[in-house]
Amino acid sequence: MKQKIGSRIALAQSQLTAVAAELDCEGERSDMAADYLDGLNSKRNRQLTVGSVIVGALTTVAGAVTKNSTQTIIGISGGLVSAGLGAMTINPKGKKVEFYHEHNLLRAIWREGEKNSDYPDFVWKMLNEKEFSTNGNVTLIKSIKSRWLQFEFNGGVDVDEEKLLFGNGGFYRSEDLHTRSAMINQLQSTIRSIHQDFISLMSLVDSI
Amino acid sequence: MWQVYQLLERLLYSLYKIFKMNKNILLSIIVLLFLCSCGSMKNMATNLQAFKYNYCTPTIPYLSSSGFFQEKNPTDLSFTTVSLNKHDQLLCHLLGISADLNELFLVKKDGPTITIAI
Repeated sequence: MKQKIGSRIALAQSQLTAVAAELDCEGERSDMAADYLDGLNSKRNRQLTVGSVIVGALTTVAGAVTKNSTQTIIGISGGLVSAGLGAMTINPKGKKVEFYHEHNLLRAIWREGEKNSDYPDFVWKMLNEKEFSTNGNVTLIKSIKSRWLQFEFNGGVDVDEEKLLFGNGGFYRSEDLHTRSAMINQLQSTIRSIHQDFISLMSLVDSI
Repeated sequence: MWQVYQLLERLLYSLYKIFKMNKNILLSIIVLLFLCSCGSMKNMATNLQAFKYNYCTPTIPYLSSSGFFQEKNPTDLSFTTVSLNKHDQLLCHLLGISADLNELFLVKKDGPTITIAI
């Protein structure tokens, strides 16, 4: 009987560990894609800046050694090219990458209360019990969602961003991938902390 | 910041020169720059295919059948010999071990049972 209880607890803990592992993998995947885009954006900006500086310098030199009308044309065209190259670096959002996640663990949390199809049944029930949250007033799901809204979306979320992050994926910018990674890490911490709830029960079973 | 200053300086210098030459050219260039700055004209998507496939999805679906753990009629554990708090009672209920735990308490209370084979 004791063995049966022990094995049931072990199975529940395995489910928590499995979800935490998936979240860990998803977080790393998001970070990897974000780093890839950050690298591309940074390389592009560096090349454009160098190009702008070189064109500017050449324009100045060419302007100094040429005569009046040619000097003006070189000055204008060189200045415009240099300004254009500089203007191309002013791209706050940068490049995009195709990033999909049909099995999205963030979706069920965001659509709190709806039927769950992404989590093991036991984990989902734990997340929906007020008893397992620190203050006991709200469920873990509500608590996670309110933290996301406050710290990741500044109180409100854009419709397109919501569709991207909590849907099946699509074209992600680096900024969106960093947001996704941060949300996944917070969720992973919450899932891992559920293990603490087993300690008193396990010690009780052990003492019998 | 240095980039922005440099950019503005070059832009203003060029505009000043053009303005001195011909006002129509200036207008044409401004319109051209405005049109070229449209985001929709730039293809900013990468061709990388690696992130289309989600390798983090579990190969075998999770146990999601409702009621696998949970008991339909959980045993009340509040009267057992060892006091079990509300938190642990709820956990036992979710794990579906209330009846087993209650039985375990009773076995302990009654003392060890000896089975004799005849």
